Amino acid sequence: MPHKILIIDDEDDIREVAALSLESVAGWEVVTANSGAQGLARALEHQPDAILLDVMMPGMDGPTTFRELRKNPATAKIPVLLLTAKVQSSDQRRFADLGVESVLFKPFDPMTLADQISGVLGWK
Amino acid sequence: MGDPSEEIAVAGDSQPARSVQSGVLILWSVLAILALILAAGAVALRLLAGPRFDGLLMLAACLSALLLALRIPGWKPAAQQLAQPPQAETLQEIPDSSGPALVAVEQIATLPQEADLREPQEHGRAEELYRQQQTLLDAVADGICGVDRHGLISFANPAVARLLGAPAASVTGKQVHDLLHGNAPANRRCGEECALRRAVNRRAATTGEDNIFRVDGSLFAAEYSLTPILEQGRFSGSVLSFRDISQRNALDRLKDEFISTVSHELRTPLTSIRGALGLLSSGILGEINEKGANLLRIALTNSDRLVRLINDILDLERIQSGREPLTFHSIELSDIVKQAIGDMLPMADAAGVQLLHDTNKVQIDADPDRLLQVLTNLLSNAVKFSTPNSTVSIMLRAGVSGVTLSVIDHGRGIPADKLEAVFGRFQQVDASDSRQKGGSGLGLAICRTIVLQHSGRIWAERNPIRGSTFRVFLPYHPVPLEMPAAVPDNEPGSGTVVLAGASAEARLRIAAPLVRHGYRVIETVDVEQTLAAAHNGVEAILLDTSLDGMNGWEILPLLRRLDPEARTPVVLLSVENPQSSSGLPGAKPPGVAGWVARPLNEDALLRELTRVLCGPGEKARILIVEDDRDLATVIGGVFSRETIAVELAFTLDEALEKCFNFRPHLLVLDIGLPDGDGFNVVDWLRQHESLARLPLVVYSGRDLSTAERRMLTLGPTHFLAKAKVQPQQLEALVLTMLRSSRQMEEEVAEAPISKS
Repeated sequence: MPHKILIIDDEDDIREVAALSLESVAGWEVVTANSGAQGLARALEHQPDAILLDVMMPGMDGPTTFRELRKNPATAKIPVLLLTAKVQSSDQRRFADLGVESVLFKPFDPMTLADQISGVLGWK
Repeated sequence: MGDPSEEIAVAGDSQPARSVQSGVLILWSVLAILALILAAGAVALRLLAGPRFDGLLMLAACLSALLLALRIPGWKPAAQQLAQPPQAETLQEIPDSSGPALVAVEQIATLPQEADLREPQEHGRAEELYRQQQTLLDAVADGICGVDRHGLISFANPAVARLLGAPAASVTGKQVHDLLHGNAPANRRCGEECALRRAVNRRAATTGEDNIFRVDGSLFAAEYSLTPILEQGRFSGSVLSFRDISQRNALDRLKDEFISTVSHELRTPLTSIRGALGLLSSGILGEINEKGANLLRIALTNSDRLVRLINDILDLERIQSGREPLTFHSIELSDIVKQAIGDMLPMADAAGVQLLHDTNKVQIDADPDRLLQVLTNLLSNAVKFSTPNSTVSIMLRAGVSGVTLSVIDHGRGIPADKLEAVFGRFQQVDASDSRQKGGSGLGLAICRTIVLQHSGRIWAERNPIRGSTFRVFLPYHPVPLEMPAAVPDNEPGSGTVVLAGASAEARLRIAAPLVRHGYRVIETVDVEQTLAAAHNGVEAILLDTSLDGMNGWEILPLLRRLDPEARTPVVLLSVENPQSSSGLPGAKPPGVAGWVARPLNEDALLRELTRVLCGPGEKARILIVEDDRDLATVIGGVFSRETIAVELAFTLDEALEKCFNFRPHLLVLDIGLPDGDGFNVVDWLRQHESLARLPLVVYSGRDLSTAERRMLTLGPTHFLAKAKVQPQQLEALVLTMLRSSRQMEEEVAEAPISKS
């Protein structure tokens, strides 16, 4: 049974490339959302195995979306990985306090993205 | 009759008034002594002759009390004398207000003597200097306070009251710490560990940053500097200066935000590029023909390179700016080595390179993450430049003061003339194939910055047979460096002088006034040090004629050998006119640019130094363009001496006319003139070939944008914010520019001239 991943990012191109990467390299099923709000709805509806969450988004940003996901018991258990271009250590400290599973950096290697996610979540 | 203490306090009165003063002083002294004698007599009479003389006793007591009460409080003149910090060396003994009557009488007796000894001209000049200093102190934007030996503010310039939002009169008499932190609201009060409090108590020279609280309880971030004043070795007070750095802090925060934003903005599109290229290149989406695959590979490699470059630039900027301070722990260096090797293993395996390390264990204080970054970088370079089936080794050697770490490869090696250059930014040994290796050119620059921040050293060596060895020396206990820790630029002509062979007392008399006037002083105690210090960038050498073990005269030829073109002037500090001791009447001894006789006069020293620095021959000409007449006169006064001719221009028309007729060597320009502005002057100057490269000091009331600065630049141009610059800075800057422009003129004069 292939894993189902929800990708939440406001950048169309990044969504497309990341989705293509997970689908063609790992054969996973991918659902996408272009905002925090849409991400909440899609998470509720599709119940993915993991969520890849961008940090800098207009409206509801990554951390806020994450907190909302945790507030709702229906989505609270889904593991969340941040996928972000904010790589400075001051940012890292902020993220660590959030309670996400891990932080992956942009740009990423499309050939190993799925491996990275599996590694963090302990999937085979 | 007025309060005699007030009359005495006014320095620099004209001669007739002063002799009246002296007369008054003597009169009072006599009266005071008489009163004491009377009092003593009355007491004796009372004791011997009984109550009949009570009246007399009372009268004598009242008279003495009256006289002494008028004389003892010497605090007013004392405070005013403290208000002239640059003349701290010549402070007179301040009458101690709690001393016994006899002491006060003694001091009354001594004061007239000193006043009488002064020449009238010197007194007039002292008054002039005093007024100039007052004007300058009033104009300066930093708060400057004189603090007495008890820690009380004895003097404060107008900026202090302004910065604190306090009425001017309320500042003096307060305790320093109370002034700055006293108005903190209850929840922000500082305790025993307050750095400012400790600095004040320690009486040592300190600078620091702290919050300062205004009278209304609001605060601002400030940078302060506390300098003790020593009078003949005894602490007699300090000078406190502070400035509001909220704007600077705000700018720093803006810069950080900018860096963060830029980093993010650059990475976002790169993510799509990298992702798309990676997928295409892998062939997973379909076969691509050979040419197409090659192109994709090129695109992919370069986008990777771009990512690394962005990372490195931000890294370097972040580290160098000190925004990410190192956190030092006691670490086991071999652990870091093993971790670095572990991280590099995949890359090394792919390249067919074996990574080796020794078993030495060394403990040092260091920032483990940063050191890991250095090691990873060095290993990465070593592997990149190694051939397959070769080895890269890391060795540790513990020394006396620290450990030397070596990364040894057997690759292509670095040419001997590039061993230092590789540590520069964007330096690659061999541009063409290094680029293939994907380097950003910043890795070693980053390594060096980190190593420097550990008080260490990093350098490269060629191996005897083949390859390179990069060595890093790290002290066991690094002394934290001041940020920024990048290798400082060598500023030639920044007003550095070497002071050779002065005794401790002479150093105080010579070095201290020089430093106050903005010169940087390198002190040397023997011949070797002097020769070592006399390198490029030193403006002048002040040479005592008797340096340990060697006569100053013997040093001269050695200096000349180092500096055959006599670019660095030598000024002899001597007991008598060197002409007489060298036996040559009239002529200056060869190799000596100037001399100053002992006992040293601060003004003579500075005059001589300036004369020597401003070059031989004609006077230097400065044109000051400033519409505030008072300020213009003051600035002009700072520079007027026999070697410099100063002209003032108050309007644009005057400025233009004088530029043409007076032909200044340097222009001090105020941006806002009444009938036009500084921009017009500069434009006009630019159109005239002979004036188009004029050195400029632009003095403006507001900060100028980069575009505006570009429009205002002719030749070497410096920008100063009005009232934010210390007079010594202005002076030192202008003198430096004059000297540099003289050198340039000489060089230009040798080139063929097209127009006179």
